[in-house]
Amino acid sequence: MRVEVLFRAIGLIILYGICLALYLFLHSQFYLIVLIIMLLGPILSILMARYLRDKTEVRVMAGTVSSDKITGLARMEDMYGKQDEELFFCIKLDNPTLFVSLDVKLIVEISNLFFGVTAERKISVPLRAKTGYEFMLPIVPRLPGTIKVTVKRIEIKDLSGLCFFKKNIDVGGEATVLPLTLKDVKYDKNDAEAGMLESEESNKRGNDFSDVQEIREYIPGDKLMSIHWKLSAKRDILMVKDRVSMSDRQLVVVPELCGVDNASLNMVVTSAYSVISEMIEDKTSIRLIYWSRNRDDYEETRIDYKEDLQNAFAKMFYEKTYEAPDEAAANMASVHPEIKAYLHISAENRNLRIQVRENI
Amino acid sequence: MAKKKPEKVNKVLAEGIELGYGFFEQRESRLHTLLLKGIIVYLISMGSIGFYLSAFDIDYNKQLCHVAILIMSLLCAMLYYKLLVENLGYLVLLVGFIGLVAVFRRYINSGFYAIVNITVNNAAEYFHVEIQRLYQEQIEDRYLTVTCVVLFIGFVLDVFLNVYISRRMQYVTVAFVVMSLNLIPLYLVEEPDPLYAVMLMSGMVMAYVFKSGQHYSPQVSIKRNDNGFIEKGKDKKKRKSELFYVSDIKAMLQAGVTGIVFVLMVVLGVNVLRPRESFNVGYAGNKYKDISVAAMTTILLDGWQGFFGQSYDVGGMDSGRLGNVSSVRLDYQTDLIVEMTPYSYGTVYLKGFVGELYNPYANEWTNIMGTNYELSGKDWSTYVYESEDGKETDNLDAEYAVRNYNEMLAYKDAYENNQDYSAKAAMNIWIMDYAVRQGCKPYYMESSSYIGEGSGYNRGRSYIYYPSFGASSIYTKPEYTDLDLYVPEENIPAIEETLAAAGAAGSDEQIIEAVTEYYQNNIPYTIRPGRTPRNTDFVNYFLQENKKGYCAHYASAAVLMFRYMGIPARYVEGYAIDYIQMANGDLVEGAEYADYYDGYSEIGETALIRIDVTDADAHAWVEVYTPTRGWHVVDVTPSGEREDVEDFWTLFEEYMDDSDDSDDDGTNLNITNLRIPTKVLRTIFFGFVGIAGAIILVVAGRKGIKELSLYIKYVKAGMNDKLIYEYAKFRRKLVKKNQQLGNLINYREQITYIMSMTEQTSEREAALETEARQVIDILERAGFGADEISETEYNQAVRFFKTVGK
Repeated sequence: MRVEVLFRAIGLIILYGICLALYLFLHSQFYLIVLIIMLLGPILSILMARYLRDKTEVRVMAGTVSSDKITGLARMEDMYGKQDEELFFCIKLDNPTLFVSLDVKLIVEISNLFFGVTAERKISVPLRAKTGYEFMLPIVPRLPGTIKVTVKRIEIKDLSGLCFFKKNIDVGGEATVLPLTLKDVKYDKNDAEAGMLESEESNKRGNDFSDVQEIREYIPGDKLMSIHWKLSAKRDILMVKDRVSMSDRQLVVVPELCGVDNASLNMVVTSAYSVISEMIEDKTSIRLIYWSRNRDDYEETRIDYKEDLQNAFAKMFYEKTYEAPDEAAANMASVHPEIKAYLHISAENRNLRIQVRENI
Repeated sequence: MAKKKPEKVNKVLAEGIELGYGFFEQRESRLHTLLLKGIIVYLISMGSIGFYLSAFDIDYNKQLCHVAILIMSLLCAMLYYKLLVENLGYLVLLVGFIGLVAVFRRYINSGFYAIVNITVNNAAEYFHVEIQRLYQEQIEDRYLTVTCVVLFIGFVLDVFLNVYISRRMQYVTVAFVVMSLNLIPLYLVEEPDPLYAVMLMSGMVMAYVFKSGQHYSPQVSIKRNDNGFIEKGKDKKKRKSELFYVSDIKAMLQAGVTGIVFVLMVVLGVNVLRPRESFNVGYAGNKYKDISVAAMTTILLDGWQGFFGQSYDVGGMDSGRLGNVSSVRLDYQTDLIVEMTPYSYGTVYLKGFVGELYNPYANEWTNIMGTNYELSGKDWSTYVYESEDGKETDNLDAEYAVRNYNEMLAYKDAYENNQDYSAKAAMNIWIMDYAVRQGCKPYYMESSSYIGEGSGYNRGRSYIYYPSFGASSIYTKPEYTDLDLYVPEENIPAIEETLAAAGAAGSDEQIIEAVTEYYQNNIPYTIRPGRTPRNTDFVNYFLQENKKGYCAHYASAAVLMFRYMGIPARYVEGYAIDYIQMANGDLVEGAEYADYYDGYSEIGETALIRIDVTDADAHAWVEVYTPTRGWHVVDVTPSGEREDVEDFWTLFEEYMDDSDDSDDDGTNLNITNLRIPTKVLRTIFFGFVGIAGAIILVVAGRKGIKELSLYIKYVKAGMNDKLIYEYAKFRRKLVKKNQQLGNLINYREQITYIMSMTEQTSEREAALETEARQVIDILERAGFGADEISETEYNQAVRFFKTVGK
């Protein structure tokens, strides 16, 4: 029994004793009323709270809200949040009954699934009759990943404060927090270029393994190697071949999802995101390959656009991190022999390392 | 200087997860919350005032009071809107309050007096006492003055309750405050109007529910204007499960309404099933309340001095002194020990004091013949008898003997001539109480003699007497003086009035019967008649105003009435022993019945029994002279039953004494003349135990509360205060062993001195000295520094205290 409840119960018993003594002494109708209230009140209150426990439902919704003015009815919008920016979780308790409780404790677990960070807190809210209660939990993620807010349990205190009725809920809502896009990620771009050029040079040598998806007019910024010279000559206008690159002809990015040190992992993820983001802005297709501990295999995703990037990272954030600092790179040669080189992003003791590794 | 606003910072929940500060800024309507609290204050304050006034059915302008107190309650609650409002508000309230009191003080005073007077009147009615002192109301319009005082009390209550309700919902304190006065009407069996019971209980229930819900007062913990989520459980140990609370006016309102509906239903239900008008019908009362009623009656009659024996009577004879006794508190001390042979179912009267002259306003009976031989006109020498053993009786015996001399001779003659209903008996009497030193003798005594050797008033005497039976009729020549027919003029109107009311007329017997019957039907017996007011005649007050009393009242008035009607009468005090007492007496072993009794007996041959005659057996009666029976006893005191409510001390003693009286001789300690009854010893013992228990409880309670508050402070305190507390504890322990340490003023000196007391190895000593220097520094910073010391430093210092303390 909770100390709070114990003290209240003892206090109530003492008060009841005093009132009973006064009733017996005075034989007063008023004290009879007091005694009945003191006896029936807690019983009814406990029954009410028990009924409330059975009927109360909890929902959790996640997202960002556009309005600065936070209200209980703020509309949830984007499911993707940004690192260091507020992400909202709307926790809603539905109470269809006519009963009320002033103290419903929600045992709320707030976690970053990717980083394996969890915090559990109690939030005490009232529960209105018929409507329930709704409130916003603004979470500011300082690390990217999947932020999940789960209401593990509710404890409904009766109005007399003598009982708590517990109900395991385990209802949650989650949102992906994307890493920051850093503009000046320090890595040897020449090497990366070299890694990329390897496939381009291969193209130049005539080894074009890519599939042409469509042929369209030239748009400034298109690569010269994409120009369909023959057709351009025929039409007298520059035409380009939109290619669907084969894997060995794309820039392969391999981040190491080593979770020994969260700060280092954050560096890897943020850098990978920033680099890829920069690359796709340069219209470079990216092949993101990382080691999935969930599947014990490589997980790979092609990223051409920002949406691809967000989805890829959102998916990646469900992965479990591993302890070996070189887990992803270690198996690349055996599992993906077709890849000649890749951009390997790793960090150890908060030292970020981005390098093009030959896949041997 | 402007107060620095708290910085808006996020709360770190875990690595990389913060709770945005916006969470704590989700505001509820503070105004509504305060209004709700104001309503609770209104319900309780108006409920408690209405409770009291409706119980006594005191009329006042209810609408005005309800509206004004509601407004005031809401305004008071609003004081907590902002700090500035609170400070200014209280100032305005104080000024306004003083102004109102100054302007309306006469109305308020009169209103107070009106309520007090009404209460006292109700109390007087309940306790069946006359209360002379009432407050003089300057303004007679009670409707107006009570309204004024209700507003005044309402405002005061609003301000007071607001502090407890709005801030802390301290319903227990509030309950004690409001119910302390409201117990008065309930004690006097006056129930409040259900409306006010509902109001009061609703307010209390709401306060309780909000307190239990813990969503009532977030501003207490955080800043005043913040009515959103607040953080609790800042304690390090609880940090993992910190609670965030939010208050919500709608839920509070719903909970409040739930409480009101519930209270309303209970009140209605109880009023339907057990209406207040008939609630106490058939209720016989309880012992504890009876005791308190007795105590309250004593207070009302005599004030607190009533408890200190200044105006009550412990029973026994008063030798004709009347009027200065408000109540009789029997101590059940043995006054006489009587050995006799029971011979009748009737009461045996032992005559003590005879009053002949009643002194009006002096309120006393005077024994003229016993002190003034000339006035009596008799030659006392003729009434000195010799007992059978040849010893001479003293004058006192003669004085008593003379009053019934002729009757004694007549009964003696009847006995000697073996007439019906005649007998001769012996009775031994030991006087145990100095107050009865003048002696008590049986009626129609012929002679007396001392029993055994020795001297003093408590020496036993043996009396030879001739018992009279109701059936026996004797003729004696008239033997009375003018004094036996004297009625003071001051008493004549009251006497005439009473005789007329009693319809006293006809023969002597008819008159006696009429008066006795009048007493029985119209004047209730009480041992708590109240003191006769100063400058008031005892008999007149008894007959015309108070109309209740005990034996002395009945006897005194009856003597005057009989005299007025021409029947010679005298006032007599003594002891009356009834048949039950005789039956419960102790058998005297080895005594021969024939040595103590000879002749007619209503109950046949009995035996010599010993009876403890206590102050409870003291009595007053009338002696009248009728030609057929001469001077004989007429007991006009209504027979009866024991009074419904006895006095406090009697009930209390009965409560304490659970022994069977018949088996207990009542005496535990007997050192010559000092006899302390067991019940007194028991009372004293329990009294001491009670007092000792109370002292222990108070001392332990105070210490406990002190320790608890210290502990709470300690838990809440910062590191600096905690360390200072730990050091004080450590030092106090050492000071007990070494007083000199107590004279050292600063930490440096003290620690250095403590170090000098310790015995350590040189290596350990060096280490300790280094540590001591650090601890001195920590202590000085904790004691005088502005910054808080770290937990590590605190632990280091405490560790040092433990090491050195060992």
